[in-house]
Amino acid sequence: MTEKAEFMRLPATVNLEYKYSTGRYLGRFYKELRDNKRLVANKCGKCGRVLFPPRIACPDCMVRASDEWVEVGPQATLIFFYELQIPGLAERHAANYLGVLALDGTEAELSCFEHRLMVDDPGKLREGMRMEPVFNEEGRTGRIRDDILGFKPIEG
Amino acid sequence: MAGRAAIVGVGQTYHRSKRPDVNQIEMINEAVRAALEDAQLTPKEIDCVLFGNMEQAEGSYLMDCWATEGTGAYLKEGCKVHTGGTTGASVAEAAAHHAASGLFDTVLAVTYEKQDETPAGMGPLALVQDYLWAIHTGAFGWFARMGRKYMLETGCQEEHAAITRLKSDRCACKNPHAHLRLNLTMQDVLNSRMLLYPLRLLYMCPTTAGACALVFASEERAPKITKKPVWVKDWETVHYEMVGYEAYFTSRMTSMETAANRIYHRNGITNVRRDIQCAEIYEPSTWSELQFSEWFHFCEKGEAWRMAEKGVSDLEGEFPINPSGGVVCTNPIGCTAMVRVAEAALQIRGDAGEHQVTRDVKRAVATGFGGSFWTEMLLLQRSWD
Amino acid sequence: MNQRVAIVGVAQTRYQSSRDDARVFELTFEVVERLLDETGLSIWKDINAVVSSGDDYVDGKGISNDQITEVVGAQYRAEHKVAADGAFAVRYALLQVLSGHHDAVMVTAHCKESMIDQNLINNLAFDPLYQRYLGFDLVSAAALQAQRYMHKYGITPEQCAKVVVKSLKNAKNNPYAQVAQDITIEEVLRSPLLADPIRTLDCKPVSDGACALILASEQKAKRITDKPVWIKGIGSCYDAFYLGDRDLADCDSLVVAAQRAYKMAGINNPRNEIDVAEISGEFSYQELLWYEGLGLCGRGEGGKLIDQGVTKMGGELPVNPSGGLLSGCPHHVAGVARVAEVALQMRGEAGARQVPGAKTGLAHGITGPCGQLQCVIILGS
Ligand SMILES: [Zn+2]
Repeated sequence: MTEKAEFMRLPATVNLEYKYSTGRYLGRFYKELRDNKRLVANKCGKCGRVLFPPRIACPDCMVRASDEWVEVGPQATLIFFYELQIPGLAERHAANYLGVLALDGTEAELSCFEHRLMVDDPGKLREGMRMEPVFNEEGRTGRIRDDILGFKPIEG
Repeated sequence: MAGRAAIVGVGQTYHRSKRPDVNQIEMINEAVRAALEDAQLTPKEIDCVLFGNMEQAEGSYLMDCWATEGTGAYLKEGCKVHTGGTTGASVAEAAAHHAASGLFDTVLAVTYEKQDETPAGMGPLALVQDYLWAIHTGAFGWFARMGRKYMLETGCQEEHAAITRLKSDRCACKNPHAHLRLNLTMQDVLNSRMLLYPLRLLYMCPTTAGACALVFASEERAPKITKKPVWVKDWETVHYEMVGYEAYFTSRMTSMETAANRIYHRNGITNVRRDIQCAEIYEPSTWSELQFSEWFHFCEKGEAWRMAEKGVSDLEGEFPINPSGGVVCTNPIGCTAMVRVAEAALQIRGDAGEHQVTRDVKRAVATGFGGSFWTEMLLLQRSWD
Repeated sequence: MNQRVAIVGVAQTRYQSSRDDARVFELTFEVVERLLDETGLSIWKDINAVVSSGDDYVDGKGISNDQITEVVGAQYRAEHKVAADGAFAVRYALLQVLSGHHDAVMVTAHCKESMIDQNLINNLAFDPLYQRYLGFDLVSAAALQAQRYMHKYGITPEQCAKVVVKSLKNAKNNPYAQVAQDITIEEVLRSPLLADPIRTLDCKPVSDGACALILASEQKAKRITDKPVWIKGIGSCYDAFYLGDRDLADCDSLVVAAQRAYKMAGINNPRNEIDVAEISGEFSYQELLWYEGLGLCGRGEGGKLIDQGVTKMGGELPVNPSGGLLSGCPHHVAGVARVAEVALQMRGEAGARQVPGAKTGLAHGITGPCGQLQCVIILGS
């Protein structure tokens, strides 16, 4: 075997289309956001933890969530933010800045989430600042990442 | 009474960013052969084969089934275990349970990742997000935030991260199996591309192709196979609920602290740096090496960067951390945690070669990190007692 | 085995063609909640660890078990996922008890096959360099196996159809079954052809559901229940991956797995000593082939066994009183549910599908194309 080996690669695409059920807990969140632009959470009947995103059981107590629902947000506190400098990320998320946000009425440590930030002057962004959502006014689905276009600073 | 299991064979490939010269099966087989050769066993002498990788990373379903071609599992017992980044540790734990159960004399544990087969943007981490919930950008933001918070809370400066990264590189350069062996200078580190302040490219783990295999044996069989069995004294797995990565900045106990507390308590470890002589931890970024070291109680809170500055965690130091170069130098994801176990075992045997630490290692810990901020920790010992 | 390990409780959902009302991990919570309720056990005080069965491709999510941490009580605790059929999760849980590290381990399995066309995923089980491009999935691979098996041993389509008729009839006694009906051999043979000789009714239907059970050490088991079901023997085995490397008519890996399990359980003549079996036939011919692999009859005699009525309810060795996979049971859940069904038989709690006086039972699980990976578990009351 004196011949130099040729290393070939075969391209392949894996295309999988799933249908995800929202279930009755997250489903209620979807419906409220889609129809009423309201953000809701459910609660643990044992320890009182606000479960956001809404879910079937409290992780800490392992008991089925109570029937109590609460409205959370829509105002939120900005916990952390960053500029999407990594190639491709800004395009993928359709934003230059992403923030980690905690909606009013939720426990920041357990229920914060990432979302797009809509800011004219990024220099003014600071941790702890108050923000509010900009809702998608047309064709809402209930999906938080589409139905809230982004969060913007509360003026004044 | 708990059964006993020992590691009697260690094998790994040379980890590289690309392995165009082999297909997945051939690469897996390299590690399997190395482990069997190390244990001086033939494939026939293996009773059971356990397998793991990051399930979606190479685009194959039921990968253990195809992998039988390389693992030699034909007509043997076994199955696949998968827990994300912790997979390598999970498979090692499963192998320890098997070897300690009394049902098997020898168990082969195999993990691999061939990340050069995954097209950009199709990486497994992109698939981890909950499709029905919020945006998820992956680990960069999280590690940057960890670094920023760590600096603010402890007084650590960026140069201490750089010192830590240089330590990793010095170790990796002595480890022929390591992926990134760069002979870095302080200037190289501080000039490397800033991803998100204070996370530089060199502070993040690379994408690696590589495989690792370990042979485990029962209490009775292990001493007959090798003069240097490494006993798997104890292990602990700590999981946490599914949430976005950002929610881990919490006043709650972390999975690292929980696992360490339990392992140390059960095994009478009161002074960690005295009772344990070396650690191979899964640090996905340099900032996590500092933060995790504190959570594992390798030092007091806020002291990890001072420990790095004083050279405590160096190869020659009082408490070497990641003498292999660690995860920032080598990261074949589903295999990475098993490499930690393998390297810790080599340190205990005294067989780590050029990257053998100065201190005599009678006892070491290896950890895995992954999933929703999960930790797995294994305690390895030269003698059982 | 160095100590005795028992099943101390089981729970299943009803299997349905689609559970649109629930996220996949909510199915898990349903069975875990019921299991804890029925056994009266505390998830925190009584259960040490969890082994789940699932797969990222099937669940449509990377690290799919991170969804179930919070519904199985794994907050700050151990959960490991076996990415194979649920029988292997039971196997791993057993080993966690035998190793002496835990004295009670919960096993869970969940699956919503309705989320995606299973053939798309199954195609990914074939190697990407050659077989995948041939368009293989589990159905077309099974068709090859069925052709080879029927040709080699003269098994007839009618004999395969009898498996379907028996399964769906048995299912009428199983409140968890998805499909239960009286049909005729002719109806099976008239159902649409998928891949010759496999017809729609020869396949397990698309199914959603979950199943859970708890394994405990002898000492703990006796405190929990007065009807522990003991695991007497277990064996697993991989066959060769490439279909061309095996004679698909002879399921070597099942033969080896069964022999391991029988040896451990002290079983010399399985047909005489086993009272009931729940086996994983994803396709009708597989039940006949697995009879042979399990040593319930000689090579090539699977067809004769069903003709003689040995495996029907009231026969000498009833197989799949629950209706088995053909009456509806998703991947991953299948193996745990087989064990759960046999456990119910051993406890005498199988209701209308009870095999009277059953004391020794066999549960069986498979993973991979044409049953590449096999697991056999022997249970006893
Ligand atoms: Zn609660």
